[in-house]
Amino acid sequence: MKLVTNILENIGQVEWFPIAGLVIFFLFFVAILVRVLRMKKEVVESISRLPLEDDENQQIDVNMSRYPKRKNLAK
Amino acid sequence: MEIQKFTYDNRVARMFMNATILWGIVGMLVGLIIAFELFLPNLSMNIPWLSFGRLRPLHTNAVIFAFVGNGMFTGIYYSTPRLLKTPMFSELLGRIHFWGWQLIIVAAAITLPLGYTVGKEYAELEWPIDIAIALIWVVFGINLIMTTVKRRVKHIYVAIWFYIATFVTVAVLHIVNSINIPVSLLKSYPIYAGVQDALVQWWYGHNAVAFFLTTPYLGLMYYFVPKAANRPIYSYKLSIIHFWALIFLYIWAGPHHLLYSALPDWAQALGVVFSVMLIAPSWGGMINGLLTLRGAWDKVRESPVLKMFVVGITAYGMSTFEGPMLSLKTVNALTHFTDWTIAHVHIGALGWNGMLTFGMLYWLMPKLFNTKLFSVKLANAHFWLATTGMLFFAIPLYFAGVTQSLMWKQFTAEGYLQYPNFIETVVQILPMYHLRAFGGILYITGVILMIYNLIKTARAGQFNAVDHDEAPALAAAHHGKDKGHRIIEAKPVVFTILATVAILIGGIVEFVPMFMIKTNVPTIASVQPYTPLELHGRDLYLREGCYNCHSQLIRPFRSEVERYGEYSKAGETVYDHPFQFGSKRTGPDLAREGVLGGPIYKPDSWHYNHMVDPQKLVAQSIMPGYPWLATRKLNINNTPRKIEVMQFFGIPYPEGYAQTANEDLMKQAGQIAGGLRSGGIEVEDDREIIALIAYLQRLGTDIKKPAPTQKQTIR
Repeated sequence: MKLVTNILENIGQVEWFPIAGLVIFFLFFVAILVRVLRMKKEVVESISRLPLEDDENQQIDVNMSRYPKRKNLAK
Repeated sequence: MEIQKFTYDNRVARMFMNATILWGIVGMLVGLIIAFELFLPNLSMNIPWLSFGRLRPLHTNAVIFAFVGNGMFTGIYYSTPRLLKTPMFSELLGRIHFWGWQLIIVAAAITLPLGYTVGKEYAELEWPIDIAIALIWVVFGINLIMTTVKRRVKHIYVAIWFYIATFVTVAVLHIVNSINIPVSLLKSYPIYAGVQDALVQWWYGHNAVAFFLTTPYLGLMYYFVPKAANRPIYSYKLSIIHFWALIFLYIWAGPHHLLYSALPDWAQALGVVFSVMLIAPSWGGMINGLLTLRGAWDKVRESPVLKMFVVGITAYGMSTFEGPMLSLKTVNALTHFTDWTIAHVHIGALGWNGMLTFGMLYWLMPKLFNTKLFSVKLANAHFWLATTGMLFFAIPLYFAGVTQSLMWKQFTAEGYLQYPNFIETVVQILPMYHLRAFGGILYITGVILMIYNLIKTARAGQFNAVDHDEAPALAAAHHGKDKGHRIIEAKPVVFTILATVAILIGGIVEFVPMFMIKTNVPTIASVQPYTPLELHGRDLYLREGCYNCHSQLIRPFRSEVERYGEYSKAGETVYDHPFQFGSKRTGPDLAREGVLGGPIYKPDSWHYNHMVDPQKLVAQSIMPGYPWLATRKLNINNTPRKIEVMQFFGIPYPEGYAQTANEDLMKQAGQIAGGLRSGGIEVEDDREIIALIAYLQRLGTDIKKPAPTQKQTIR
């Protein structure tokens, strides 16, 4: 225990740690929120279909899906 | 656009799948045995390695690291290549990972029942095994991250993020919590002590739940639920938000395991606040999983796979609601140290991890063997057995937890404890323990049906060692400008670093002040290091797993102070490597066991007889006997090394004490054994039980003593 304490004893301004943690989290969260809300619908849709794609290639069960097939990204 | 052809190798996924099934049944059977031991204490037949204290760590480690661990690797090795449209980076690394992990499990299954343990819950394994875990974990990480680097799709699907976060965080948790100094090949002491050790341990313990039992399984959910329902996830945007919020918030919540403990209030408050906030991202995941099935509930009626997923995700929602509630100090005051905790973790383990694993196996086995499930009826029977088994497990334990806690706290009109005898509160809840074991039988019966069903399925089909697929190369798939989060998710290395930073912030903010600000652990002048005999006794206490049933932490409540004595102070634990607060009171708290004239003090002879045959002294006791302690000789060869390690930690034993410690040890042992002999108990000085009695009689006594003068460093 002492061993660890000695290493850490020289870090100053520790009272700002929690505040800094909160601020970092808040800013990061807001940034992600803004970016996510601005994501394009087609992109979101194409990513969310990734798990279903190997089945599409293997031609299994595709027609049972109620969702339209993946839109072509290149357009 | 060039289309590349490639293959997915299913062999490693199949190996992990088989291991999941094997260790699943082993871990659950050990759980069933210890569930029975709780009302049939002599079921262990005085065989040391069958006693509750030694088997309980085996049960928890087997279920967490062997069953859920192999389950997560099955899903990861199956889904990662398919999501990234590339084979795994290295087939060889996959095999090393598989065999290494199984070897670690076997090592755990041997050492834990033999009593080789660090004595910290879910981190019991001794240092050589810890090192092996770290190495194998790195092998897994290299394989995972390198696969994402050489992928053929631009975007990394959210399941993979959860896998990467799992890899990074478990590595950090495991390494930080396992820094131990070896005494011998299979014995070590953690570098942290007392309250600080408690903070590190529960930061680890809580995040083992978060990043071993939750994040990888959320990843599996994001892959297998869309697969089984044949529709994309409800909201991909929600998955991004809840991913970042989850990994950022989880890491702070550990101190909620230490409410009302000697941990400073600011750290407890931090744990509570972040635990409550955790509802949001946790339920984000649950909602996303369940709503994926909107408009497809007709499928849920027919498919046992989807049924299992629905109950699993619902159990996730329940336990992540329960968690924050249990973190509220008022609720925690009632539920902590009781069977409620056991019920809570089993909603997670049996419901979330179990059901999700079973669903995945029912889906995957037919897929890998190119056939249909042998019997949907049997799988449906399994579903009902598992669901009812889970309820029979949890509901009686909720009831038992609240009942016992209220009895602990009940005062008479005159102001005395209404149930001063701990055993009264145990007898009251024994019927609930019977029901819990019945729930366990139902659940395991279901698993046996599953094993039969899956074997029949595999026999009917033929194993698909490789699947073929094709996709354009990644270079061809690149086009247009990327913005914002898509840059992060397209660059696995940047992503990994950001995820690491997110999880490190919480840990650093909690640890640094705790370790560097002296007022956080106020020292008490009269608190002295353990004598060599007591130190050995403490190690026996760890070996027998006493901490699995006895806490050493008296909370500052009148009901506890009345029952056990003065509440526990942070400064009393500064020589405790590791801390022994415990998390469950199947038996009474022992923090003030040694205080002469205290509420729970017992003489040496009582301890001797009680250890050899508990029911002789407390007829209704559910504690198993430890008669071997009275016959086994104490190994004092490693005393010098133990003292040296303690001195290395800064514990103030006099210079050169390591060499003379055994003289003091023999002297103290002679006094205790002499006392016992004068009371008519035939025992030699050098037996293990003498050391354990010395330790128990030391517990909690220091604060009553005067501070020592300069010369009396050792009592």
